[in-house]
Amino acid sequence: MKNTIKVERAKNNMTQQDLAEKVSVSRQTINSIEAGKYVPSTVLSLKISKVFGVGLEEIFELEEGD
Amino acid sequence: MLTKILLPYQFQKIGWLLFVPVALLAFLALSIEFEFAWLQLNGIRESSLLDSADENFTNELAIVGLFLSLFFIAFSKEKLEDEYIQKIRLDSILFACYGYFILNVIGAVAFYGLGYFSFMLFNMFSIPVLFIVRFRWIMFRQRSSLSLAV
Repeated sequence: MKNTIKVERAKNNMTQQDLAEKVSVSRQTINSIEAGKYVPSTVLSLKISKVFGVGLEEIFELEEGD
Repeated sequence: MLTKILLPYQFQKIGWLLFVPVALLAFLALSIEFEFAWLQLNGIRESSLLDSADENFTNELAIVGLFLSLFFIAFSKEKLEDEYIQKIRLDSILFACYGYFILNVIGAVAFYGLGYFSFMLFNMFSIPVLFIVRFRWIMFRQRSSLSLAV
């Protein structure tokens, strides 16, 4: 699964730490999601899209092989 | 959504503080048969012709202490426990179980007699030890990769 969290963070001028605190996870978690190493749960994905104020599908996108 | 069956974060420190002395005690008890005189409790067990009652409980103290400290270290929460850490935890438990099975197979082939008995003694600790080593290693790598990211 691909995601545009890094881009959205840049648009909103947020660091990984800022986002992590807003969705109450550790910075490692955000880092791993951005790196594509971890697929977040539905709850966490919804929280992230809420922080950025955009739809879920604008941030997360299926890749070939998913 | 997070499981609530983990111990509070503070237990991790207690676990490590307990681990150092009991690991030393277990090492001494196994290598030079070190025994505390005050743990000699006579009249509790029965001996038989071939089997001494071994009524010194230093061994027991060391083994129980080791399991307790490993349990505290392995199953206490991280400072900020979240779903990703829980995933690493689960993966590490699976890794430890795989390791345990492999060690058992190797042990069954490689050891026999008293050697096999000592192997089984050490193998008791392989699941918690493999879990802790793998989990800590991944957490350490996570932290070091963080310093590179912005």
